[in-house]
Amino acid sequence: MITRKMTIIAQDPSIKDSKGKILRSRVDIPYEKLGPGPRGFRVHIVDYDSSQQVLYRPLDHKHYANQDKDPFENVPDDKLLQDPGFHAQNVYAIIMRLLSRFEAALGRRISWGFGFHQLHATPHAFAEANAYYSEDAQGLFFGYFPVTKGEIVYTCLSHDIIAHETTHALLDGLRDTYTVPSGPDQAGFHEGFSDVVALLSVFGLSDVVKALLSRKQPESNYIQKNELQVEALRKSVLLGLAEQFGKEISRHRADCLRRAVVRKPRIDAQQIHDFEESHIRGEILSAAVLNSFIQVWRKRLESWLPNEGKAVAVDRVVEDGCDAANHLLTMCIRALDYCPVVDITFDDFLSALLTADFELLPDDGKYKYREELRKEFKLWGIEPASGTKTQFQKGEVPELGIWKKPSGESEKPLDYECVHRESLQQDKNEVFRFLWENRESLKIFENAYTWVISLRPCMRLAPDGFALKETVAEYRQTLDIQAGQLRSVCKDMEKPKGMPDSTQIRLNGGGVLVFDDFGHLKYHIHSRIDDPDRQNKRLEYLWRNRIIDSKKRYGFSDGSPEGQRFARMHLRRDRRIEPKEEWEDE
Amino acid sequence: MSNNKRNKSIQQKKPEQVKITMYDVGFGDCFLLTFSYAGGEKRHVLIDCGSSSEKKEHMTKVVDQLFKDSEGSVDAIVVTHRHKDHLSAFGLKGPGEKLGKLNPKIVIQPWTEHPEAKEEDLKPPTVFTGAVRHLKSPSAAQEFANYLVNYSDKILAAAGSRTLSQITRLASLDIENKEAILQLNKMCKKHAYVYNGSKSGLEKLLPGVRVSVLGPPTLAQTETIRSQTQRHKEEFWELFNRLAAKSESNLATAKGKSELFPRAQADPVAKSPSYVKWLIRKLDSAQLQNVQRIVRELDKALNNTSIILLFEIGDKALLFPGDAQLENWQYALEDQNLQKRLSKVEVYKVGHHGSTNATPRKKLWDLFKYRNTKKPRLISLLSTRKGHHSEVPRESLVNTLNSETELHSTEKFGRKLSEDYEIRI
Ligand SMILES: [Zn+2]
Ligand SMILES: [Zn+2]
Repeated sequence: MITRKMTIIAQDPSIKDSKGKILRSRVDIPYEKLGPGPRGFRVHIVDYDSSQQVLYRPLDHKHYANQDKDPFENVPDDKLLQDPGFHAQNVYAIIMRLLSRFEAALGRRISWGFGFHQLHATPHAFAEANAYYSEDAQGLFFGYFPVTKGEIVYTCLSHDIIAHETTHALLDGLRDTYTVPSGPDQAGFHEGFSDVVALLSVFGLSDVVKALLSRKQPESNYIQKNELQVEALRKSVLLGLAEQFGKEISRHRADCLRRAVVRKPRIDAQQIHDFEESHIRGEILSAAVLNSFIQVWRKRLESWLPNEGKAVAVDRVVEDGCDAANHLLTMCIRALDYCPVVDITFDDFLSALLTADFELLPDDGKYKYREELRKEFKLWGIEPASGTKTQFQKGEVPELGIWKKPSGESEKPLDYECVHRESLQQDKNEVFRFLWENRESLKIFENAYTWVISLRPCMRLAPDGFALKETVAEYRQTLDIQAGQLRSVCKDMEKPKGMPDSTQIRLNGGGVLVFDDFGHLKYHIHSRIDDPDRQNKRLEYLWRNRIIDSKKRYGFSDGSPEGQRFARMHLRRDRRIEPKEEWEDE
Repeated sequence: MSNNKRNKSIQQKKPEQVKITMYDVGFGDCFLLTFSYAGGEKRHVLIDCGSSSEKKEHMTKVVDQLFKDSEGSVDAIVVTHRHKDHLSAFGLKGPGEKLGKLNPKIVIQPWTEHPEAKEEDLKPPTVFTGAVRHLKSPSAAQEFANYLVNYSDKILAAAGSRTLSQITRLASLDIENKEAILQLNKMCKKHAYVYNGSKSGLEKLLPGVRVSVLGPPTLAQTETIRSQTQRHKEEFWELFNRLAAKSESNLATAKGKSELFPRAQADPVAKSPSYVKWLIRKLDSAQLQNVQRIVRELDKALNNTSIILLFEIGDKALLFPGDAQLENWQYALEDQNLQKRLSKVEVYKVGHHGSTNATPRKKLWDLFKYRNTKKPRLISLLSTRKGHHSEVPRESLVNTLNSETELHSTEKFGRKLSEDYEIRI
């Protein structure tokens, strides 16, 4: 892939290097012929400020002597901050970098949630301390706000905020069902996952990690060995970043990171009422992944740290940290292809993480990424959804927590005679035929509306160059019924106590089918629509929290106006809703 | 009998009757409480006097009537919170001056109105005694509201005329109300700034009546309100204020020129390509939705500074919660002992003109034991006007009030200016 280098602000303008200058990074992004904006094949920056109704002239790389060169490489700090063109490049480069990160990890092109090719991004969208993804405007909006007299904070200059919002847009493209009302985990997943991706992508930048590690001795190329213990790393790197986050610009983000590190894990977290609030729930996910990151980093260091001497070269320590962050980031992104189509739980995500990594690296290696993840998630009471026992057929490598093979699901063997193997990798109709013919073996509920939503051939690369070819197909099921009819779906399905029989409900289901290179089904990650356990829990949660759409139906949408789903998600942070206290008009 | 002696004797007495007068002020509140003691002694408490729907002419009539009903003097004035529909009459030339002649012995306001209370204060300042009373400088919220009232049509490109008038109406509740506050300040020397658990300031004035302040909580008492104010600071912030300081002509020239990047070049929107125009329309409407959300939240935040008063005389209880919404109520309702006392409420001033979340359904409404009973039967007093606040009054609440209580609503007054409700003790 041909790339070009672009200057970005490494984290945000408040993080300085040893000479007191804004810490920058020059990142590689895919080369393309940019139009004014920049406007590329996946991202289009439009710098319109709706609070002042000003449309800034777009940055045009063609105006520079060498249009493929980074125009901001040698521009001093104050000029950088005052140039909206640089703000535009910063946003463009960080979004593109993350998009290519996702595409590399998943081994294929991916789409934005709104179905078109170019994502809009607006660096100075409005005068408000908010930034969000709007699927209605097919774009990311970044606000700005003053903190003290004259000093203005730009959310579009915070790496972590841009990465976080971009992740919402990417995740929405991969799983648009994850904003449908489900349970506390799904509500927290969008936030938690976006945080994890944003933070790991910041920790993947060596400039940032080095600056954090060298805070005590900015000029030195060495670091004391006692500063490389697990606790010391947590303090200097995780808490260090939280401390350094611009005071205002990323206050929420800093708090979230700090809490994720400081909060004591508890095995019963998921049963506790407080943890039901989506942001707090999401922080469990960040806590588990970030602590795994530190543990793995430490393991990597142990493999070479010499017994003698007190100090070691800081660059090598940094390199290990960035490698660990990058590997975990790849795992997290890749896991999405192994996540259930609807109603995700953190248990599911853990199994998906383990499976994604296992497929490429059957041996957990000497740094034990998967073992650390299992350990850290378990501290929060999160166990792999596939079960806590290894149940494998003879001859296979057993490993705890990865998804079970489909043959374990049913006594009946799958029928491949009905389909053409080759079309199965290219044609949704063929996939549907496979589902239909095998509905009994795959235990697919017949009386629901069923359709194949996507079919994606992928080529994933392991660090050692090994390539894994897979085809991932996803199908969905919906069933709209009245509460009184739930028993007709499954005799153990129950409506929540007090819910009238006539209440309109939508049940969701579906599955992910992962085929190997030969068209054989490797995994069927199935969310059965007739699973009484999952559905009862979900309905109870929706009923208790009165999550309804504008027609007072349960399970359709959460009633947010078009384009404001994500805007509200961020603001809901502080709010404890007690919906049962309100007077609703029928 | 000398005045002094009479006062002494009344100190040991309990009122024999309470009369509540509800005035029709359209969308707003105005209540006069008259406590009658044996021997003909009376004590008057005025709770709020304002309207957002009625003009000065109507308010003049209301105040004239009020003046008669109170025989030209009241013992205390309670202003539950700083919304226009609760204090506008005090700021009107004419009615305001007449109200000033009522000669109250004390003016009672929520602690957040303390002239020395700062936005970040956790607790009210220790009681204010200074003879010179300063006007609090307007908060960012008020400036934002002022700004919207004056300029919303210029900054909200995407707003239709209906949306604009909704925004302006809501924002105009929250404006500074400077004249009214000035008038309240100079009305009398004694002021009380109250909060959950504090003295009400009515102790000596209403013998035989236990008056409890249930709200607002202080920020130290509840984190809920704190996080709200924190967030608001971030959201509507000072840039709007800076813009607000500009004159209209300035605003016009500012269009198309950046305040953020004075040296940056701007392009005319009209000449931009259609796909850019499409996005600009989306952005303008996103900005509009954000402003609408902020205005709603500001309205709610101020409602949550409302004083909630519980009057208890023997085993009769009267509840006046102003516009307190759920977040304000929450702290008080944790107290189990209070729950018992609230169950005896016989007169309920319906919170916030009958909105959806000012009468907590499970935590408050379900406590009242005189719902659905014959004698005594809960009397609910609803001062409201349809169409002045989104979905107020709430239909399902009004229906319930109608079927389970003796409901009196100003919407049913017709040409009457006020109604009296008498409670024998
Ligand atoms: Zn988010
Ligand atoms: Zn009101």
